[in-house]
Order: sequence, then C-alpha cells, then structure tokens
Amino acid sequence: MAVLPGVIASSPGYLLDGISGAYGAYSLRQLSGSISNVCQCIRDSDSATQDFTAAELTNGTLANFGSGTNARVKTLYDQSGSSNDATQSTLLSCPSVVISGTAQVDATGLPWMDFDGSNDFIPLSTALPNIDVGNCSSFIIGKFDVSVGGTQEVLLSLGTTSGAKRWYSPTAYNGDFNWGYGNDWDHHQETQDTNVHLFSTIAGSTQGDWQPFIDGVSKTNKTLQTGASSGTYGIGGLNSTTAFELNGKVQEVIIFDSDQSANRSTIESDIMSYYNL
Amino acid sequence: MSFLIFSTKKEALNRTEQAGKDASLGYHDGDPNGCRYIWPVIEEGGANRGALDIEGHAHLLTEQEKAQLVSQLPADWHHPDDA
Repeated sequence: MAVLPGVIASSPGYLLDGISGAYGAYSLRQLSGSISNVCQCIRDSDSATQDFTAAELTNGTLANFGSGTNARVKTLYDQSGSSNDATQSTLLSCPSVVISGTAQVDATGLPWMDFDGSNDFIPLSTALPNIDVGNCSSFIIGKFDVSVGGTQEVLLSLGTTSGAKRWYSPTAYNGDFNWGYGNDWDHHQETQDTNVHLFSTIAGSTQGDWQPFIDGVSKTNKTLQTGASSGTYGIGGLNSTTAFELNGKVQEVIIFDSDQSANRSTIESDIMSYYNL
Repeated sequence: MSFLIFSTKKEALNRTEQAGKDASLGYHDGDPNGCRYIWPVIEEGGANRGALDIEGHAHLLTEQEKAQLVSQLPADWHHPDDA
C-alpha cells in the first residue's frame, strides 16, 4: 500500500494521529489521541474559567457551565503537540459557545464558535509567528452569517499588510469570498454564500504555486510569493480586535508551516466527513 | 453600541485593564494566561486616539464615564487601512 509523505501507515483514530507536522491545530473536536482538553471557556457572569474536552462541549457539561449566561472560548489548545495555544486576553473579544444559556451548535448538533462581527477575534500571531507565505497550508471550517457588503470580514488571516505578506483565507467582501495573498489584498474571488465550507489554501514548492480550495475543489492557481508574515493575524479578524471582524462561525482551524498538497485530500476527506460536508 | 473615547490608545488600554482588575479576571488573580482586559480597545489609524467598545459589563464604569458614552465613533475617526 502506498503511503503518502507524512502519513503514518497505521489506522489513526484521530486526524492528527495520522498526519504529522502541524504548526497549530485548533478545534472543538478532538484531533489527536494525545490530548484531552480542546479549549478553555470563560463565562460572563463571574469570569470563571473551565477546561473542556470535546465530549464535554456536547454532553451537558458546557451547557451547565454557561447556564443563564454567556460562555466564551478564551483559549483554543493546540492539538498539534507543539503547545502553540491560541488565546484571547480580552473577555468581551472571546467568541461565544453559549449565548444567554443556549449552546451554539450547527444543524447537526456539532458545537461552533460564534464571532459577533464587532470585536471577537482569536489572535494567532503570537502562537504561530513568522509564517512563510510561500510554504504554508491552512484548513478552516466556518461560515459567514450574512452576505458581506463593503466592510470586509476575515474568516482566517495568517499574514497582513505588514511586509506585504498577506494570507487571507478567506475574507468576504462585496458579496464575494476573497483571498488575499502576499502583495495583493484581493488575489482571487468567488461568489459568497452563508453556508459552512471547508476553506483550504496551500502554497509551496511541491504544489508549485498558490491555490485556494472550497470543499476540496481548487478555484485557481497563481504564482508563489515568499517571506515571513508579521503583524496581528488570526481567527475572525485582522490587525486588531476591532478591524475586519467576522460575523460568523468557526469550528476548526489547522495550520501547517509546510506544503501539504500531498496530504490535502486525506486531510480534507477527514474534515468534510466529520462536518457532514 | 456604546463607545468611550480616550485621547490615546494607552489610556484606553489602562482603563480596560483597571476594569479587569475590578472584575478579578484571571490574569489579575495570578494566572498569567488568564483574561486581562474587559472591553476591546478600538485603535484609530496612526498613533492617535483610542476607544473602548462597551458591549457589556457597563456596571464597571463610573457614573461620569456612563455619561460620556457615545453611540458612534467620532466622525473624524481614522479607520485602519486595507486589507
């Protein structure tokens, strides 16, 4: 049996038991057999915090914790094994998983983080610094809640205008999904909708170019750019906690500081199967 | 929406940190990974003003601050560029 580079031949129980080398892996589901807690939540009523396993997000433990109040994700624990936890230090910028006592779940009952479109943001620039935009792979499950107009909203950013090393994968703007890359803020567009999608973006010398994918389908290919990103970037925003904020949902983000084109279909199949796409 | 405007970003940051102390957020109780601030700081483009987005926890404001809340950022506010 042929084994893809980076893929362990044994049958994995979790996605990252079979795929090595992630730079950061954040999810409300368990991605690795070697971790237990997937996130830490904080509630509005008394600022108490509690760690949660993936199972505890749906078995009533989280609902009990957030009963009658809001519960927010303060820290997404890195499930890659690299200890690159992603955390938000401002209480009211943490995305919600319980709103007024109601757990936030998708149509199939899987939990998701609600970003309020105002100031919710989980920065990744400290957890995952110096991303080479010419050697990177990102996978994010999420959605925009509305058809976005003239104020851009960011689902995931891993680079910024700083040094012209953008990695917007994607944003939404004027009715389109929009990918920014390197020196170009609007490198590629596709018609936007408000459905849940898997957005993959890969750049690297193995693939030989930069490509954005929606639900496993490539939308274009363009010339590689290179160099380390900087500035403030992350999940649901860009530059600060109040700029280009996402009004939408996010369930999972996996980042590799490498070209994962050889493993792309394996990764995408696992994610799309789990999230019923 | 309600905003509290400050002359500098640093003043806004100091105020939201003080609110974090008043609310005994984790950072101020000895957890270096705990939450430190209550309200998000809105940065004006350039090294200019700062504002706090008071979307909740207004009970941590003084009466004078509550009287100073505005529903919109000032008309001459310099929003950040790009994308």
